[in-house]
Amino acid sequence: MKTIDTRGRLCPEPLIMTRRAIAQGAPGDEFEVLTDNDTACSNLRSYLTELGIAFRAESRPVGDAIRFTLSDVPAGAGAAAPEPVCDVQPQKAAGATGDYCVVVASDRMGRGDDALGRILLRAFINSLGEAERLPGHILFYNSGINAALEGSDTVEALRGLQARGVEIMVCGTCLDFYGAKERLAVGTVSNMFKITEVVTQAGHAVYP
Amino acid sequence: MTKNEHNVPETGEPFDLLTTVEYGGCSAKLPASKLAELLDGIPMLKDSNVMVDVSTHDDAGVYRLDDRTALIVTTDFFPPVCSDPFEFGQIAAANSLSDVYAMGGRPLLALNLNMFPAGKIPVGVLREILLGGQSKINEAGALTMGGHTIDDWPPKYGLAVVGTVEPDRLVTNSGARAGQRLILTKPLGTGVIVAARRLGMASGEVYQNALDQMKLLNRVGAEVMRKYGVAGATDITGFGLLGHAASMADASGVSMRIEASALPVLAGARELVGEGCVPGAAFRNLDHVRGRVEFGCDADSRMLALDAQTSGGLLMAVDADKAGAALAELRDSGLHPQAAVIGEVTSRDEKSILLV
Repeated sequence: MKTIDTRGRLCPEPLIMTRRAIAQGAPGDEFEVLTDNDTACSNLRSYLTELGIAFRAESRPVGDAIRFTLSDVPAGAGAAAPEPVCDVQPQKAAGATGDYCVVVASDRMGRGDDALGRILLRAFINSLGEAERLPGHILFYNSGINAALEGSDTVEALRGLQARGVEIMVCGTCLDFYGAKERLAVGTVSNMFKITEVVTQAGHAVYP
Repeated sequence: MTKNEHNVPETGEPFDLLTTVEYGGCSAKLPASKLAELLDGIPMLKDSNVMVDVSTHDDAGVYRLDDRTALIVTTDFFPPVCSDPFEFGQIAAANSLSDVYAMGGRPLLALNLNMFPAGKIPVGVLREILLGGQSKINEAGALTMGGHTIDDWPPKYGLAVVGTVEPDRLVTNSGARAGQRLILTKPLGTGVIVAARRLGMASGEVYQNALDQMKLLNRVGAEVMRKYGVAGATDITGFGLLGHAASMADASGVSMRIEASALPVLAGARELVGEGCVPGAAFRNLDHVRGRVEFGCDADSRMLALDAQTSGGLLMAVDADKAGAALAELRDSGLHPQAAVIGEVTSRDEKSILLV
């Protein structure tokens, strides 16, 4: 089984990665494609169907990735494509993370010079992975959402944390307000109800 | 936030408009099905002089002033599809003017529609956009009558255009007849190449060729339609070749048989599609036409036929005995070397389009 991990990639990148991997594979190879956003999921489903490749889509127990399992690749155009299931069901990874949450409410850390504040926040997020105990959740709201958007140099670190079971939640109202929904590069879109739930139930909350 | 939203960059450095958008051009359109739902039931006055209105999904509205003149009115605007402001202005204007040409008309008046974040992008960029747009308005022989500018992010630009046409020479979606040949004047694949460019997959040469096609006015195509008495045509934009062809077939009460192997494609686009570079708009367009198209070709050709075009070519239904001459004229203009007969109009079948 070859894994094509397209998590954090926006369309058409997941399709390109999939097509390339298939082209390089030998007949009969099995592939699994991982994705973590709804648009890519929907487009992958359409694209594989168009290519005549049989697949199965399911939610994956770690993080919020959806796994497509491809068989009979490359299949003829008439290959049957079973009805895929495309629901995203975030599930908590057991044991991997701590009982605290990190709340990123601004794109700067501390008060003072703005440029310095951004550098500090970046350093904080990039070093979170080294922490002895990872947070259960990292929440992003207001200008804090910048850290989870495409082009930010904290995205890679956040993806790494997500892969280790940390739930990354980004305020949907804030994404809408800043017109940034399309540029979300990591994490799931969340709402104030969930954010409140996480903050109030966490053992403690860290505000960098 | 996209890269440039919070900082006005240093002046003197060229501003890359593509940093303001994640997707652009006609692929930024609402899905057709959603649009139809939105428009449903909105009460509008009727007038017997209205020759074409929103109900037939045509490229523009048409109003008969008298027996000799009808007005064509249309508007279109979108976010950047390329880096250079002047080129973006050219493309957006050519795209707006195209709707007049697709109706067989001639552009007469234009208004600039500007959505521009003056506090975030050097205002000189807007001037470049307007200069690019004006160059196309001038080329079309139309007059700029003014415009409207509001602050908005990301920037968007386009025109509202008024054109004229003799009422009996009007070209619509509903004018195609069985037996006619289908000519497409510009190659497909602009959506694919713009997406590939953003991912660093398209060479400068491939990208520039695509931009040049998008800047090209559909004026010669409109002249050819007048000369050969074409009554049915549309321009190919956000809904892709299949979306627009299906609308035309349905409005005309005919079906169309399109040959995938005959489709003109921009240099580099087929290879890019073969690598999986298929923008999401193609899948939205697929949902839009599914059930109306019978597919009998390879997946990559299907994707190209579904690719959302920005400022695409004209799809015209030409009488079979005139198609050869019309095609030769398009090619001899030197502007449409890839114009091609891509299929034929047939009597109405169960499906609107057969793509083989």
